[in-house]
Amino acid sequence: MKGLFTFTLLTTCMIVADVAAQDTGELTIPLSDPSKKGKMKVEIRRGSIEIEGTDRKDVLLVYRVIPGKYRDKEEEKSGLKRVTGSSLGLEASESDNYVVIESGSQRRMINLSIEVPRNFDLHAETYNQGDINISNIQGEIVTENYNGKITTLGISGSLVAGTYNGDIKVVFESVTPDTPMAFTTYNGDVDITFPKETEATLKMRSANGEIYTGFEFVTERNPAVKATKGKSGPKKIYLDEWVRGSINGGGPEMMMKNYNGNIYIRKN
Amino acid sequence: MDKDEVRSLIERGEQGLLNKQEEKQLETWIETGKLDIDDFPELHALYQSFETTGIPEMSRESDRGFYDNLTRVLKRQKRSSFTEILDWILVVNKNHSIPWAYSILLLATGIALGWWLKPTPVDIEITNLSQEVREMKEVMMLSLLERESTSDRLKAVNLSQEIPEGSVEVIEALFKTLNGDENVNVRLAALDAVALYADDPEVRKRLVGSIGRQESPLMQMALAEWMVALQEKSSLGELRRILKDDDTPQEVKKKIEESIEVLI
Repeated sequence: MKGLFTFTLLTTCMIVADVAAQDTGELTIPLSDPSKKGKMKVEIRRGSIEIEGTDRKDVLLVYRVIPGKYRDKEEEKSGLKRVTGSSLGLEASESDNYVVIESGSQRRMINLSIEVPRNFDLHAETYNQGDINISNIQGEIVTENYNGKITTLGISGSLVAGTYNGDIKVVFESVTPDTPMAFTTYNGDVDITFPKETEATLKMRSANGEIYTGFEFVTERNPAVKATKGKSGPKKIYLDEWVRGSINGGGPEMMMKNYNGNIYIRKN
Repeated sequence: MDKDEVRSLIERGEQGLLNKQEEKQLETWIETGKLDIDDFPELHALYQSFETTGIPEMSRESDRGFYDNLTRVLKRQKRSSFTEILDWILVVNKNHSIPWAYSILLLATGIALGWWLKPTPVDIEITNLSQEVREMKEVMMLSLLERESTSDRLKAVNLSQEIPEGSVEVIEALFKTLNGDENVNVRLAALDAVALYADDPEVRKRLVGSIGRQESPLMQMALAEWMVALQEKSSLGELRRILKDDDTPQEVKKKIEESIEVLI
């Protein structure tokens, strides 16, 4: 596989890998400046994404196409085999330490397993038939899923995570100070473990579930209908059913919200 | 209290012939208000003379004296202004210049009153400062909202809630985020932030308009909840459209139906 790609070693090099025929394969994507922190965006429609921080200085992408009923439908039309374009539509590029791995294919299910340097910012998104698993990362992480779980373990930094059907489970080693985070799902638990010294203001709502915490949680009174009339601005109205409170004296706002499932805030 | 007795006490008092007990008695009466200035002929006359005395022309000297005194008062403004004025009157009285002391007293009272009523420089400073902080937060919020980092945008939305009065720019930016941000969590936060201004009919209208722009069931649910909380009947059409959408998950349809029931 490697022979298929040529990399130009410029400060801002750009590669586009168009993975065509093989159902499985791997690809190493070098960074323009391995000494600097990199960033990666992974976006697929069907399948799972696994990202692990390692000691490497580049990005290793391992992909595996999962055979499904939609497969080959387009490729073979009336006995003709398609020769143009990519059936998988998986593309990888790098520019100025920013790695982008994308597949817009709705039909093909693909599982990605990616190794990145530990010190990396991540944005990972899938929609169907797959979970997102991230581990051992120092950086800012954003993940979105729809039908699947989000699990991030051994994280130092911040996380914004949202899914629809699936649990969100997060274990922080440390959190970036003064950085708000948010965790939302419809069907699933929100289970977050923070280091014991984490200072945060929690804004939580579990429509049909319960909220549990291992922290000394100081509930703030809900500003049920509090209005402050400004001279120039409109009046503010608060109408909410959020549970608000602080741990370790308060800090950036952490929002947790779900409908069917519980919320757990654990102390590490 | 016998009037004759009082009069004789006052008369003897004016001649300085009172013993300690009588003096005390007189003081008690004055303190309790049983006697007033009209009961003391000499004081009464003085009081009358205040009204008949013309206000003297301000000489350069008295002018300076006035400003000296004023400066002193201002310098010592930390002390009670009332005792300050009393001190001042005493100082003026020592110089036996009662007629213009009266006019100065009037002036001083005016100044003191003005001083009390006027916001002190510290107040003005705080007002200016909080205004500056507000503007700074607003600028920071608007610039953070443009950032690529999701955390920064979330920070921006949270920051908007610290701005006590929402400006047009802030509300505009929050709607732009609510309708266009790529991250559902940022959009959710923007909804809660902008819905605080739902007192404004225009904001309500735009919230209703936002329902049709949201594909995420989480957003549709959150907006439906706000519509119920705000009793916004004009949202019924938009909510019914979500029900007709085949992509809407069954459980969301059920919740939206419940919301419609409440609103009808």
